Amino acid sequence: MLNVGSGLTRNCGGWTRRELLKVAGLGAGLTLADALRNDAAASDGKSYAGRERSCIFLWLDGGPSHFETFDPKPDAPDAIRGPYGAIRTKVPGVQFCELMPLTAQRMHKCAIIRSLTHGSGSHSPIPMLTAFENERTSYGAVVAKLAGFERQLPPYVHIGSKLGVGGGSLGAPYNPVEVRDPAGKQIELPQFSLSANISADRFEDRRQLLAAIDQMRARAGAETAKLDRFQKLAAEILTSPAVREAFDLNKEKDDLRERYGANFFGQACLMARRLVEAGTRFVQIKWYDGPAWDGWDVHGADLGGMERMEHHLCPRLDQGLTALLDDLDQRGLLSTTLVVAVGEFGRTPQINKYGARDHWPACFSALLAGGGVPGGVVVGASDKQGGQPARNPVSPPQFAATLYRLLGFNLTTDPRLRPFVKDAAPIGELV
Amino acid sequence: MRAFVFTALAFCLFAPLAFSQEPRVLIAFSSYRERMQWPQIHFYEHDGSGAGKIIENIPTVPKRSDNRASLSVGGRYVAFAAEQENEVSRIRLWDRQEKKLVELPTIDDTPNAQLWPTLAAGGRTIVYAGWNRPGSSQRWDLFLYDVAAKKLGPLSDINTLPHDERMPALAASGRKLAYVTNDPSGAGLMDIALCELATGQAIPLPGLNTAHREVEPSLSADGRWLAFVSDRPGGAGGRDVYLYDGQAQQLVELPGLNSVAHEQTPSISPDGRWLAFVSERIRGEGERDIFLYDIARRQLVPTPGLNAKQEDIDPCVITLPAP
Repeated sequence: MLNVGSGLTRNCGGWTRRELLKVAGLGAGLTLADALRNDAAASDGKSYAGRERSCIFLWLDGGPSHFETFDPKPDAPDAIRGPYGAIRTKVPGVQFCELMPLTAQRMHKCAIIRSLTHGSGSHSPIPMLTAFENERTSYGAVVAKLAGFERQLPPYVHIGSKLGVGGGSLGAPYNPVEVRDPAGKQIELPQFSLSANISADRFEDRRQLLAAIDQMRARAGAETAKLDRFQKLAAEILTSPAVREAFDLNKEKDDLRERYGANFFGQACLMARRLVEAGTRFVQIKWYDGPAWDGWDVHGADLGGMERMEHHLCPRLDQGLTALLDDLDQRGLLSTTLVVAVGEFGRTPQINKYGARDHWPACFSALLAGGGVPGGVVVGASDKQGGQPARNPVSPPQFAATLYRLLGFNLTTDPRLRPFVKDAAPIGELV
Repeated sequence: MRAFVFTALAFCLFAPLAFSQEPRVLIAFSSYRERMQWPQIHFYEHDGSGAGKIIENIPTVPKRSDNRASLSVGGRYVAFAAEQENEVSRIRLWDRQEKKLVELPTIDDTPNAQLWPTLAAGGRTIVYAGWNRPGSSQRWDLFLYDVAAKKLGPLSDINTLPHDERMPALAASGRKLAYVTNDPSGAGLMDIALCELATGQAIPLPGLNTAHREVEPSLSADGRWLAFVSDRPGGAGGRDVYLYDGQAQQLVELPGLNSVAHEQTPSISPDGRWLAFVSERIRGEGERDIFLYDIARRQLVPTPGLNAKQEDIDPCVITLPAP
């Protein structure tokens, strides 16, 4: 695991030398250095990597309600429809919940899947981040493996608290570089922010780091020479000016930062754009469970539920997501960057006694945009009550196959993909 | 086209206030500063110009979220919503003078959620929203609780079947009630309605509602000034706070209040002088912070010590009587 940051501590200590050593492979555990070494070993002169596409995966932890986002049911019976109405989007005939007005205005650049379905009602990134119930290898790890370390940026970055999936069967080297927000300083993303109380010279430990590597090599002897080379390369990557630059949100103007939303999710989206722009292939953002209990697990009416969704969750998603799409578009990156927004499941059609909704994996929605996704497309449909797919049910493996295909990987010719999609085919309307 | 029209009358009304001795201000609000998952209600006293401090809070219990405080004129009573974890939200009334909860018999006679309390008539009347309360519709309806009589009172001709009425806001006089309805006969999906509390008779609000969302009303004591939130186009960005003059029947300009970020949850003081609201702007202390706007001077007022790194939400502002 490439842990950047100080783990579970809630104090921001910045990126310490010890942590740099750890990520560079001199600490405990397998690291980026191992991944680089594996990549070199696997190189057989053939390139399986597809077009240079990146992915920003917005993991809406807790399970967002499809009713209150992308699949409203304004004509459902009283016990099912929520208090919120449906609004028109840019695409005739397609409606979103009124809590997502900004996204509705970008529907012509998005595709919605309204018939995702699986059988797990427990909070877990499995299967929606791994495709299969017993699989712990995340999409980002597969992309990191297939795309390789072609650039001087970590290929797979996770922003947010731990998710519990990562390298899986590919091994720890393909775990993501993790950017957490342990201090709850939502705006700063403190490990990488060079402002305020974060000392810029945290990033200037490279000389010390390299000196430490040299000392270690001298101690370990000549047989570790090759290992040292990868460790050194890992250190070069993680301390390079390009990485520092990509992680430093203070390079952005305040008005752009504000447009993304002065909150963890918005700033994480902005960081994701910077990382993709610099060359990271897969950035995964976990909707945080940080300072104010904040996930999409909205069982209650008040701050535990609908109230939170109306005042907090939907406005932030709507703002951060659309700022990301607009920014990518303006920089010419949207066509090569796939943006995905989904959680572990949807919510029950029946409204509970709290005035909110419970877990529902039988039918829910996802949003995709950019990266070659045809705009304005709605895949599948839920039934009148939003409880079951009425047309074209989409399984997690199909979802995964679609994602890999959109990222430019060939499911037919690349045997390394098969374990992660098995016989699933991509969704025809989207690829 | 921007719908703002500056109301000269408003400035004339407030100008004398602006140049007399500044009144003290009390803000009740919820904050996550002490408990990450469960906000607690705090009280912040401000000198009306640029200094202030937290003066007390409402004692709470573990794993209970206290929010949506509504102060009586003078600040003695505070109605709020309290949601114990894994239980439904309930309405509570706190007596700041006696430092204890006021009993509200029968108000909890429902297995379902109740929230958004608003307080008037010196703390004697609470109006709130209840979900699927027995004897009412299966949806959100408004209910009136008579604190002196210790029972629900009549609230005629306001609730509609099968639609939702939520987010009530009483004028401190207790004579007028604003609320949000999704009755499809309105201008948009969520509209603000205003009525006489005693009769339910609707009071027209020409030019206030649009095809977009108008929510979270807050009324001055006489019901003339109505602050609210809308996501209509032409604002500064996202959700913005607006102020409607019910006498002139038009919006009042609020320069410097809104930003690219979302502004939400406005509270106008009973005298119409102050507007407290929540904004998520880049230069705040945390994510959501509370800001105080002086309507008379048409500017934001510094509120040192009000916000924390954690989230601060749901303000209710009143002007305190002179000591």
